[in-house]
Amino acid sequence: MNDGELHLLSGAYAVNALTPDERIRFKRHLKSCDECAIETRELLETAGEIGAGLAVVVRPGLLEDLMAQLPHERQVPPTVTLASHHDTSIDLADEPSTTRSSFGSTRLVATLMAAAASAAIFGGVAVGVASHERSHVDAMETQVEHVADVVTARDAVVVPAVVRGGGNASLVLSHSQNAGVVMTHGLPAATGNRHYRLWAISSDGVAHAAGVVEPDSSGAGSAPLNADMTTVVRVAMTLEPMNSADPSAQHVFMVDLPPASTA
Amino acid sequence: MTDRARTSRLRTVGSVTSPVHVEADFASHAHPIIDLASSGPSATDESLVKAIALGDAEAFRMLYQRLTPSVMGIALRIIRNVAHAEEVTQEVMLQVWRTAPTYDPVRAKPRTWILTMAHSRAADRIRSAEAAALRDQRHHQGAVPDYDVVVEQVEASLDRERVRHAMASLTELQREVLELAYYRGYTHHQVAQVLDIPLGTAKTRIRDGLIRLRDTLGATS
Repeated sequence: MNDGELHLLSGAYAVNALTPDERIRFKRHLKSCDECAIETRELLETAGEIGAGLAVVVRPGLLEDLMAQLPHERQVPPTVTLASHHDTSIDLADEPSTTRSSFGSTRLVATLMAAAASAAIFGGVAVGVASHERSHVDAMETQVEHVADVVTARDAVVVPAVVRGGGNASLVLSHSQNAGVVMTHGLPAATGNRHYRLWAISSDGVAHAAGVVEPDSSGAGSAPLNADMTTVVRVAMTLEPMNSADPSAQHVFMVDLPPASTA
Repeated sequence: MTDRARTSRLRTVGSVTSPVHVEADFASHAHPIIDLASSGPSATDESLVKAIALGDAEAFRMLYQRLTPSVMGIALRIIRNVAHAEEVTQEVMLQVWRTAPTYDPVRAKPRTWILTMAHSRAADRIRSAEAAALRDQRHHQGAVPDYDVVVEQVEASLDRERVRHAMASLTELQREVLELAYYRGYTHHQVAQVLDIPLGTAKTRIRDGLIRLRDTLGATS
């Protein structure tokens, strides 16, 4: 699909009539096309107005049910996205929280693995995809666009790891995008002027600093690997003094990358 | 938002945030601060979302009352099953509570954000194979009313009239594609298939129809 055709998808996007695959492509297009971004924002609003015209009377008990639930529901921290600072695209179809809410990223990763394994989802066939899977995928997409680009790649593979000291990590790789991301869950807070640093290790055994994971209060975090993935054979994370140039601490997890042919 | 406004809200929802912290930090304020402008009945949707982001349950109640009739209306129109539509409604509103801190007013109005989410969730549900089987199944679960009953209890609203008027401004062909895409949750591929038109025609027609609606609604708002 070329850009001219993408241009025409604003309406279908606004009424949520695109397949997941098309949605992703259209959203990428929005980042580079102000005209479409403006039009899409307007058409989303128009679609919302059609929806407002469908209002019905809601059973009063529903509100009280939800009010009773609120004290048990955690709210996401306000600054959690990696992408928001330079992301002007519009995505309202779902919301950014699911990864940090009660579902947890472990389940998310499981979902993404299932998603990645299923060509149906990203091959443009929506029928047959359970709604929660779509929602989770959408949630990632919104929250961390870079990360989502990788995890939603057709060839995304997930390598899980247990983190020494507590928590879990998952390395998500896409060979086609030459990119990887690390997602964590349940990581203990970094203390003493240290942070969780990622390392991309090349075949000659040299570790290159590849980013920092800044987990939220629940230990959930994600970061793209800042490395040319074609040269990387292993990925590790250390709890590292902030100013160190080389890994000085024992790694808290280290995983080997699967060979490209299996992706 | 000022720190003083924040204080009043934190105090009212101490159980959700941290009452000890709030008391220690803000006990010195001599007068309770009532901030009707950002969480009272006249508050804008946007200020309600900001208050919700700080854990204000009363602001949530207010936004819920404003927007769930539409959320439920969208879900019901697409899913055509009251129990499932109520589930979607609750999911959407819970997401609003959870993610209010990340709401970005530059991207969309709160109403657009929430109703888009409602449509997306409802459409996801109806598109899943699992839900397809449930689609025509009638659920009678305790207090859940029948579909027809709920649909008849429409909100007497200006929105409804505005939309009816705007839909009437569309050509028959435009109205048809929008009804399939928006009211039934069809993808544009399904729209093309059902109407036996090329995919390119389906997507341009959806776009043209929405643009016309936008212009008509814009002119009457």
